[in-house]
Amino acid sequence: MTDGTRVPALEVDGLRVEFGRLPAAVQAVQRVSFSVDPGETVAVVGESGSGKSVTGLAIMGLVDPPGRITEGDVRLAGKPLTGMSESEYRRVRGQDLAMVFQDPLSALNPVRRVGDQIAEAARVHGASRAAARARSIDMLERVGVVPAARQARAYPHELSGGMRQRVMLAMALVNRPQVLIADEPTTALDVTTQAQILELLADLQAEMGLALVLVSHDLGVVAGIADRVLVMYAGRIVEEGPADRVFAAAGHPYTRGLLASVPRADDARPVLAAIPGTPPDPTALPTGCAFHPRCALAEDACRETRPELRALGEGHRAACLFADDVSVGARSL
Amino acid sequence: MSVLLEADGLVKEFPARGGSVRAVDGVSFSLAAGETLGLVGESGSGKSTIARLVVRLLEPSQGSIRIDGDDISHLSRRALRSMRRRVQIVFQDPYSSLDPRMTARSIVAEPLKIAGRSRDIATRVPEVFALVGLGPEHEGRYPHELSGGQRQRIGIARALVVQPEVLVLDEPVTALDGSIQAQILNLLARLQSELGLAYLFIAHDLAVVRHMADRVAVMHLGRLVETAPTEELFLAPSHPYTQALLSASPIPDPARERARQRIVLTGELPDAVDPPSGCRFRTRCWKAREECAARPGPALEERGQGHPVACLFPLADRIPDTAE
Repeated sequence: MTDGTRVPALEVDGLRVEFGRLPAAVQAVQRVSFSVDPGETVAVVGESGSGKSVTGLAIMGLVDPPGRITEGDVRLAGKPLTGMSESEYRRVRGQDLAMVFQDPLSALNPVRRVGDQIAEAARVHGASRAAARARSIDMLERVGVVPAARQARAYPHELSGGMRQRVMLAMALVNRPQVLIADEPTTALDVTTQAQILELLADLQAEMGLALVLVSHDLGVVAGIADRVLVMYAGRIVEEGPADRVFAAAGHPYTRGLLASVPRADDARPVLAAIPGTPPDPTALPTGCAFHPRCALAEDACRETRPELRALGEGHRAACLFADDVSVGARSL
Repeated sequence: MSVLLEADGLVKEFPARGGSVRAVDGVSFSLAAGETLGLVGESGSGKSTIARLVVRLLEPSQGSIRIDGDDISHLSRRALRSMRRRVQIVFQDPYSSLDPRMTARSIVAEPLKIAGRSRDIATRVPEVFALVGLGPEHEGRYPHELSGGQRQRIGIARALVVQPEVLVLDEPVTALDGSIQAQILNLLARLQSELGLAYLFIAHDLAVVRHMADRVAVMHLGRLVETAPTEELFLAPSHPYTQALLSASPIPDPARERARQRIVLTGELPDAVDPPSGCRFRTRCWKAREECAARPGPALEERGQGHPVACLFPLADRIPDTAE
C-alpha cells in the first residue's frame, strides 16, 4: 500500500473493460482498482475468463476492438495513461511500461535475430544504432543468454523455450521501465526452467526497482514471488491483500476453494475439495455475488446483492458477506 | 498384486538431423491391476512417447510390452484392435483430441464401432456418460458446446466405453483451470476404485502425481533415473534430478516458499540427438564427478524396497523443507 509520500509506480482506478456493444456487451473487467509501488510485486490470480489477462492488456493500452476501456484510469507514476492517443501510448509502452507474455515464440519475430529485436526496442525509444547494439548485448548477458555476442545472432527457433523467455525479458527491460506486466511468464516452461526464470525475474526486479504485475493462474508461483495478491473472479477483484494473509486466512470462499482444490507437492491429500460447477458465462453473469451458484455458504442475500470488498485488516479485503467469518475459519466450506 | 502390464527394455528411435534420436532408451516398468504408476519428467524426457508405445500408437524399436503376459510389441492391425479393448488412452488436450464435427455420443460410440460392438452402443453409451458425470442432455452436443472439463469427461468416457483394464492418462488435467482440475482428478480416483482400473499417469506436475500415484517413475532424457513408492519418493528423493524437480515445484504457501532452499539447475537440457556420455544429467548436476561420464552410465540399482536409483552418488538424506 502507498504510504502517502511516494507516488505508486502504477495505479489502476475503477477500470472497466467491455467487449461488444450494449445491451449485449460483455463486461470483461469491472471496477478494478489497485496500485503497485516501485519494487513491489502484485499478483493477479484467476482462472480463464476471470479478466486477469484483459486487466494486464488494458494497462498496456492493448485492448483491441471490439473491446474497450469504458471507465476508469490507469496512471504511471501519477501520470494518466487512459485517454492518451495511440502515438503517445506507444512512447510510454516499451519505455516506462513493458510486458512479457506466456509464449515468447509468438511474441518474437521469427525471421529476425534476437539481438536485433532487442536493439530495435532500444532504437525506437531514442538510442543510437551503436548504443542500442551495446545495450542489447548487455541485456542478453544480464538475463543469462550467453555468450551474449554469439547468441545475439540466433533466431528465435534456435533457442529453447527458457532462453526465448530470457530474450523476451531482455527486450522488455532494455529501456529500464518502471513497470513490468508479466502474463503467465513461466506457464509454458518446465519446472526447472520456471525456477530459473522466476529467480532471474526477482533479481532484475530488485536491481531495477521494478514494479511487477504478475498475472498467473498458478498459486504456487504466486506464493513464491508476490508481496500482494489480487484474486479475480468473473471480471472483478473478489479478494486482495498481503500474500501471507490471502494464503493463510482467505476471506472469500472462492479463494478458499481454489487453495483447497490444488494438489500440493509438499503434502499428501487424500481427497481434493473441488469447487463444484464451472466459472460463469460472461454474457450471463449470475445476480448478486457471481460466485453464489458454486458456493456452499450462499444464502438468499448472496443471490440478491453483490457484496462490496470488506476490510479484514492489514490491507486485506474480500467481497463476501461472510468474509470475516470465512477469514477466521468460523465458517468453513 | 499381479503384474498386468510390463514394459521391458523399451527403445524408441526417431530419425533426426544427421542420425537418430532415442526418445526412449531402455525403459522397463510394470503396472499391477488397480495400481497407479506416475511417470514424471520434463518436456523431451520421452514420457509421452512411452504413452504412445504402451497403447501401440507407436511401435517400439526394441524391447517388449506385455499385457497379462501377451507380447503386444509387434502385433498385426487386426490383433491390435482386440488389444485396444484392454488399453486405452486419454490425451492432454480435450480441445484437439475430439473431432469437432462429431457429437459427444458419436465420439464415445466410435471405439465400440471399431471393436465391432455396434449393438452395444444403445446401452453402453448412456452408461459411460453417467459414469463420468454427464447426462443424456450432453449426448447430442458438439465439442465446442461443452466446457473444458466436460470435454475431458468425454475423452474419459470414450476411453472407458470398451471396458479397458489399463488407462494411459497423458497429462489429463494440464489444460484445465484450477477449479476444474480437482473435479477431474476426483473423478479419475472414483473411477479407479469402482472399476479396478490400472493407470499409467503421465504428468510434469509433481503435485498432481503425488496426489494420484501409488508409485512414481522419474524420467530424464529417455531414461528412468528413479522409481519409488510415492511417499518415499517425495520424502526421500535420491537422484539429484528428482531432488531438483521437487525443489523447483512451487508450493502454494508463501511462508514455505520463503523458507525453502531451492536447487536451481544451471544450464540447459542437453541435446537429445547428442546426449552426454554416461549419466545424461551430469552436465546439470551439482554432484557430478569425472566417473559420471563413463559409458554406459549408471544403471538403476535397488536402494531400498522397490526404490531403484540410477546414480553413482545418490543422496540418501531427506529434504528438510519438503518433508514433514
